[in-house]
Amino acid sequence: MGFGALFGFVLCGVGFTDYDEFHKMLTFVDLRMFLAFCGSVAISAVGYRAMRNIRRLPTRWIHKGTIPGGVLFGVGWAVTGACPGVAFAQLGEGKLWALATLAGVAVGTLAYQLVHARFLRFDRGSCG
Amino acid sequence: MSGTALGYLLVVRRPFGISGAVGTVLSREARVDEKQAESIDDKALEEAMLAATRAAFPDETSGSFACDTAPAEPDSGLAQQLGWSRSLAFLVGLTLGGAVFSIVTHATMETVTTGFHAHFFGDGVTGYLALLVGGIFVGAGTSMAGGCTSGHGLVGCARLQPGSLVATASFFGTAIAVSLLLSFLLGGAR
Repeated sequence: MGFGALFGFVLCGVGFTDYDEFHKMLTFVDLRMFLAFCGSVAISAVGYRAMRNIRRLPTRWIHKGTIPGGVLFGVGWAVTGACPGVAFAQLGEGKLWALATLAGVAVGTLAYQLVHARFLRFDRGSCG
Repeated sequence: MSGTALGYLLVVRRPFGISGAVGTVLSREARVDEKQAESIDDKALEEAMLAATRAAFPDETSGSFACDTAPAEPDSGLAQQLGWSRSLAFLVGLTLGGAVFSIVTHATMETVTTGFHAHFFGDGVTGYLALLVGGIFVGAGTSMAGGCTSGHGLVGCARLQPGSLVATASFFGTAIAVSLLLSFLLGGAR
């Protein structure tokens, strides 16, 4: 819970919960958040490299759902301005309209779980 | 951001990710699994303790001993998924983080969307509808790809995982394309 709170706070601080900021990032008007994201990936990369002997993590291979899933998510991301984590932080921030996004995420996740269990059976791997 | 992801890995010992936590919380199986795991753990621990106590004190076999140690987490390497209750706690934490930020910055409550979103999709029912439909895309897409911006984008890319790099490229690429399209068609940020 502490980590959730920290991450939520940081997301708001960088501006990922602001649709305008987010839209400006994706249309290359304002590269600040884009750089913030790349920067944190770079720092994480160094960190994970340093810790690679401490914790063994599963390898994330490309699978059948990687690209279609990514494209679906990309469309939703551009429309709502929110990935799942951001939607929670938005709600906490007092942006009550994020409830609509969260409802959508819940419906989408549940629906996909059903579809996946019935029709598609590939190993998706998952982030904890 | 990276500090959170790294600290999370060290303490929780699982790769950081949000869509996975959402999936776990929404999954009834995960909740039932956790309950069963708990009850099995408790029972097994109790029996083991009792047996050990009996072995240590063969003369006093009739006592029932309460143990106050927490059941140890089964250490089967690095489990992929966080348990149900901890996933929920994580998501609640995310919301709280946002709340703390809004208190610190004295942000105001928003019941309708503003700015570009309102400009693109309207600020009434259509705005909500856009959020809902977009949310469905996000939910389905992240569970299909097996990760979101945090799991694939932040952690996966940092670890140079092939699946994560492709996923990140595809969702960033699509999001950029859709945003540029919206901007072009409806006049957004330029």
